[in-house]
Amino acid sequence: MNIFKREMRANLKSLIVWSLSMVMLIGAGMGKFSSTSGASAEMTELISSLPNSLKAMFGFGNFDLSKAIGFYAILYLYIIVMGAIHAAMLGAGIISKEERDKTTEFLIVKPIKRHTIITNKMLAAFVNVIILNVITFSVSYKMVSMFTLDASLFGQIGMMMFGLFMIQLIFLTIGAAFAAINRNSKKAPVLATSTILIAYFLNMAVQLSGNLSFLKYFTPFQYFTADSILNEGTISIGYVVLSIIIMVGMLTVTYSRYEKRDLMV
Amino acid sequence: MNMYIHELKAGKRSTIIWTVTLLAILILYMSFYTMIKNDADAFVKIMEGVSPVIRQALGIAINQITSPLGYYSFVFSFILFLGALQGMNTGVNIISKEVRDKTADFLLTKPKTRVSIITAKLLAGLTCILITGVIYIIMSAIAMSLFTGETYNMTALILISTTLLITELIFYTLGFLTAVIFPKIKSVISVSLPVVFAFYFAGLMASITGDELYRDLSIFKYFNPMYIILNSSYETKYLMLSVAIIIVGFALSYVIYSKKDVHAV
Repeated sequence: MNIFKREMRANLKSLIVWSLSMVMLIGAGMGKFSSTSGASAEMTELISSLPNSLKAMFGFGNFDLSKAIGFYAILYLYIIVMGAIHAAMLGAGIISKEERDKTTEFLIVKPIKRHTIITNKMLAAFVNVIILNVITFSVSYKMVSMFTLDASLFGQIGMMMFGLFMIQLIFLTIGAAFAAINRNSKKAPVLATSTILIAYFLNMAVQLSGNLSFLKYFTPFQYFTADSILNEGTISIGYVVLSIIIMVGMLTVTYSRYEKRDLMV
Repeated sequence: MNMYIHELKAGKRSTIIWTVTLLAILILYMSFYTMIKNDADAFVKIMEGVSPVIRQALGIAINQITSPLGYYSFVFSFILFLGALQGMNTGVNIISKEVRDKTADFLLTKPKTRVSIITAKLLAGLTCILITGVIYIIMSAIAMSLFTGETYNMTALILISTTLLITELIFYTLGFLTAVIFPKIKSVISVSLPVVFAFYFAGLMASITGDELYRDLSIFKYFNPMYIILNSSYETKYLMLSVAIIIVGFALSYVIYSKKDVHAV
């Protein structure tokens, strides 16, 4: 419990900075929305019949930009990338920092089992991720509902935030697993962020090319897209299951590797 | 000279990895060109039924973005993001590693002035970035001929590709200055990635809203490929601004580094 409290305190500052950045991102984005910015009805219709590759290139996807939620949908990709960066660095840092700061010895000689240490650290990271998610949720809802108050709005943003939450947990556990595997404490954050970049570029490649769609399973950014949430109105159960499998797999790696590995002191 | 060679050796691996990554993204995305061009041509044919005004507006946009240089500019926006990250990483790392790895006292007790130390580091980082930049410029011309098979304005291409080098230099300066100002940076990527992402997002807002203020803030938008394609030159204001940032950044770094307290172990 002490470890949990200690980690909560240690990450407080960075959580505040990340939350503020998230608020700024949504605020700056939605602040620029005006319902007149959308194109005429005929234009919108024409745009919706564009091939997917061109939609991706123009950057407006499958969304109606004259509606606040359509505008928000464009921001959504950047929101989940931010969430992913925060989670990955948190997961990698919370485990690897002991070795980086040469405090492993101090921690590990305490009468606490290694898996208890991991559990406490992961719990603290989990709470951090939830807090960022709740803040994102409330700011998003507030900003979008300023322009339109639609009964379905809460559900739509709720689903997007569930997607964000899944992405956060995936990258949190990936970061932690990298930190648990690597003896070199400097490598974990680099590997975790590289994973995000690779996922991001794969995401774009999938959107641009029709015949690489099998690659979408390899990039979590394709699991919960604003497109599928807004236009189909559902979250695919298959991707939720896939996400949970990834998380459980990464957690297993984290526990088993950290339990056995020689720690650098 | 010893320091310069030492830093070059230390930066070799990361320079190779970054160069290969940039080229891989370039080749992967450029290989979609023919397919996207076909999509676009088919769509322009379908469009014949709609009103001429809209057909013209959208038609021009499509033609612009699917011309060889137009598509290249689109791909280049991703390359620019990665390049900025490389520049920032290199700058932050080359200065901050001495304190992080506890080698600062070893280095600073050598009979060398602070100015000669920072000069050697500055030049070594510069060399790494120049190597990446020059290889990229050559490869971009090859990739263009390979994947588009159409004629295009070679001068414009070279000018666009060269902005990678300029952007990298700006971010290198920013990273360098950041590392000189902040005494202890624990993890390079956790500094550079959020900074680069913030600028990238500001650039996105600049292109969605067309706001001048956003454009001055976002380094990514200093060189507009469309302007370069039309005029075969850079916008003087932003070229001057870039040079000013680089000169001021390095001058400040020299002043601060020669006087600052460096913590030994």
